[in-house]
Amino acid sequence: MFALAVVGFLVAFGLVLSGRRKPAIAIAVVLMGVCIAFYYLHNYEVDWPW
Amino acid sequence: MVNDEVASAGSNENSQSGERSLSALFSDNKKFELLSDSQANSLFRFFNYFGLIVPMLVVLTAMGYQVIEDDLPCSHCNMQRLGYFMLALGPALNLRFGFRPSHYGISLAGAFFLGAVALDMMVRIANQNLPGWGPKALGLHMYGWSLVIAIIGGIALVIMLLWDRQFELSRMKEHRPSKKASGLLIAAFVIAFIVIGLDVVSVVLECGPGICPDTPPTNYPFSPF
Repeated sequence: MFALAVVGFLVAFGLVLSGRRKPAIAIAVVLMGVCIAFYYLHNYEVDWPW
Repeated sequence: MVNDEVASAGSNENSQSGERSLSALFSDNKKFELLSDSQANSLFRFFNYFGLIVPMLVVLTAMGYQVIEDDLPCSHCNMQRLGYFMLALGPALNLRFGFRPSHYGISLAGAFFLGAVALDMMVRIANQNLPGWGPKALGLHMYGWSLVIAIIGGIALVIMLLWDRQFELSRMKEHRPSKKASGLLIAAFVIAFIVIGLDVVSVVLECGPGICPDTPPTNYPFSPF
């Protein structure tokens, strides 16, 4: 699941290089939400600091 | 009618040549210009190349520590890497499509996220009276550097957003980026692809299909070797 977010960044940079601005921005906006979701998910799921 | 007046005022403003006097900086009727258009455009492009490459080099350094010291990243450390990638995405968009405030907005979101995760990590470690976590680089832990970079990056982004001239220049035909990416830009993107690609490998081997483990494992749990 976390790896998909990193792959999402790879796709976003690929879209930028291939000249597709709006799809890249759309993925970036989705990734912003994903990052925040991961932050809260980790806070609930992990026993931190170990 | 009002739109026509605004449009004519805008065209007058564009045609007006800039001044170097200090009074022009604080006057609505004068245009302050320290550099020529091409010099200013080169400077903005340099700053954006800097913003694209530096976050990638920081993540690459962290990966160097990961491989050399055999120290796998924690869940918060992996999230900070996402913040760095988001920070670099704005300059990538600027260099490819021209300078726009929306592109800087994406980087600003990355700086917020990076700073929030780094600060969260520092507070949690301080609450437990732990001496720190992970390797140090130049006297600071990685999350300490992340907070410093997030603050400096945020301030730099605010300054860039206040610098209107780049957005005016980007609308001019002679300063608009060409549809085909230049060699330098492709080289910068190759660095970004390598760093993000290495992070994909690292995350797949460490976290597998789920979220990253709270306690960093001593070896890669999902490694086939």
